[in-house]
Amino acid sequence: MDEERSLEALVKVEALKKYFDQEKTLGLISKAEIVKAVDDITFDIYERESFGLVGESGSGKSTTGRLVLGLMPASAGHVYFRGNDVFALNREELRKLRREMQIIFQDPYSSLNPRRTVGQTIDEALDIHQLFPDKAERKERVIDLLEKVGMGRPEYLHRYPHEFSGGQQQRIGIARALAVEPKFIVADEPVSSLDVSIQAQILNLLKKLQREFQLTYLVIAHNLGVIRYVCERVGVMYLGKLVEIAPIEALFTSPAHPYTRALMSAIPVPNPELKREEIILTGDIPSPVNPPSGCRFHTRCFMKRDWCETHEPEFIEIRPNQFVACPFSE
Amino acid sequence: MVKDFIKSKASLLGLIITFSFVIVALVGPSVAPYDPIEMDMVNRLQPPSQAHLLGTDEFGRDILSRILWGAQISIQLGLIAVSIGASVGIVLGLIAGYLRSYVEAFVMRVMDILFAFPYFVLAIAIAAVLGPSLRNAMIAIGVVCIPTYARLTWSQVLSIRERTYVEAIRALGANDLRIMLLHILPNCLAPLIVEVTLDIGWAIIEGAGLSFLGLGAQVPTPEWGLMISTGRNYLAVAPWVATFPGIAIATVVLAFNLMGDGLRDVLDPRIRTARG
Repeated sequence: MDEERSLEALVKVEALKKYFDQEKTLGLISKAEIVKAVDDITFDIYERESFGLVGESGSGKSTTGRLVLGLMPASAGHVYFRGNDVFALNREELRKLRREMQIIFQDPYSSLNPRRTVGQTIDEALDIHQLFPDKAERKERVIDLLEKVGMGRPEYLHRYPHEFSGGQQQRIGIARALAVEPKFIVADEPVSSLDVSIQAQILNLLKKLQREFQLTYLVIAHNLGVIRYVCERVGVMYLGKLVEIAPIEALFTSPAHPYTRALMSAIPVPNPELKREEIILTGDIPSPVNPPSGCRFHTRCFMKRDWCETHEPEFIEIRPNQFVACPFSE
Repeated sequence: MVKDFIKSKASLLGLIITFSFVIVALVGPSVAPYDPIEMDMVNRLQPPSQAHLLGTDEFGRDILSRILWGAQISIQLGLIAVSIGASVGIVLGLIAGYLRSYVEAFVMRVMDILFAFPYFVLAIAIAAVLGPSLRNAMIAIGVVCIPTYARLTWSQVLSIRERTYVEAIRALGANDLRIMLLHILPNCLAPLIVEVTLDIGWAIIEGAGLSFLGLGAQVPTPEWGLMISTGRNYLAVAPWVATFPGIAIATVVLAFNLMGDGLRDVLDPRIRTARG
């Protein structure tokens, strides 16, 4: 795929699928339904890069984030972390691997145990992996971690999550993730629930930490502005499938897939005079229980041909490093 | 939160009475004017007087002293019975709710079976099987309590285990025991505390009921329910013998109920305890 990068992919996702069983009951009749949240996706994340995963609600991006960390079992496919098949590890191996990959959550408040102080929460991360067994050293380490995220005041250690603002809570969550010294962090909508003014602060913090600790990120978001600010490469998901993977600027200047083009055209720009191609998609997003046949996007696609109803498109490298799942894109 | 609790006069009253009850239970026996067991047939069935503030019973024993000693017995009964029920029930609920699958199915179905019996009937059955004694009454009431705590804990565990902070700690590599004890259990406590408070009062009255039927404390123990039972025969000629212990029970149980309701309102108005 890419001859320039000499680094082997840190995370390899191969033909990953996650189907959820649901039972739909109407009166006495119940039907087993399958929600195809993630349906055969393949992509790589390279060391020290910031890979974004973007899509609407229900596109399967959050589920993908959880699967990559092995937080839930996959229905099919593989995730390789440094060559290790995440789903094939036993309990102890997985526990050790957890040190290397961590997650930051969308809702910072609910990601913290309300009955534990900040100090206890971060201390626990260290305790689980028995890092810094000496009490004094550990306390120092906790303060050090909080300092790294801009919360280095000792009085914070004894406070409870509800005593902090959303931005501060997210910083605590980041400090907790950093505590175990991971190489890879999944940021699941890290700023969606924060004030716009705070969002920039947290994103800047994430960028700073990436440089400082040589981290690799998978950033999941529905806000393209966030992705543009933090990521180098992006995958676009639609209804459980990846439709495009491209370097960030290519995605903005020359989006290839019709869905991506529609997304880009919807981003507001400051200049109201600017004439832009406005693509408005028809119809609603189909249900992941009963996805359209062939290309998932064909029901709303403005470039649809008959072929699209019956064939699932493969990835084509339309430009260097830009992959599209649509044979008709230019 | 403490301010809210104090705002409600009912809860405050409940707290004061409960607190007084605990004090009485602790020091009662030392300040009781007479021995609760020693008979004094000359002075049997005396009405309340200066010498015997609440009168004497059919064996001449001072009722006030017996009530003071009974307080200690009742609180022991309440605490021990509820401890048994809560500790076993909470553990079962925690395991069933966290591990799910066949463990949950088995445990909760057994709890359902226990739930099917009216509380008192079940207590009678267990006490009868174990043999009449105060100790066995405590065990019987404790066992009857178990399903309540199991179900209350279980339903909370089901929702708490889905919370993001549990996912976070799992992502950090925590094992199941740590998650159950340090993350799920502490967040279950609020309704459990309310339930314990209400149940202590309930256990006392159940214990009195069992003693009344002859299945709990045995003569000559100054247990309040037993005092009512034996004093019943003299209601026409010496109503104070059965009445004062009855008032004691009613007061203490009311106090626990008021306090428990106050706690529930303060901790979370949306909490539903098993008996509402």
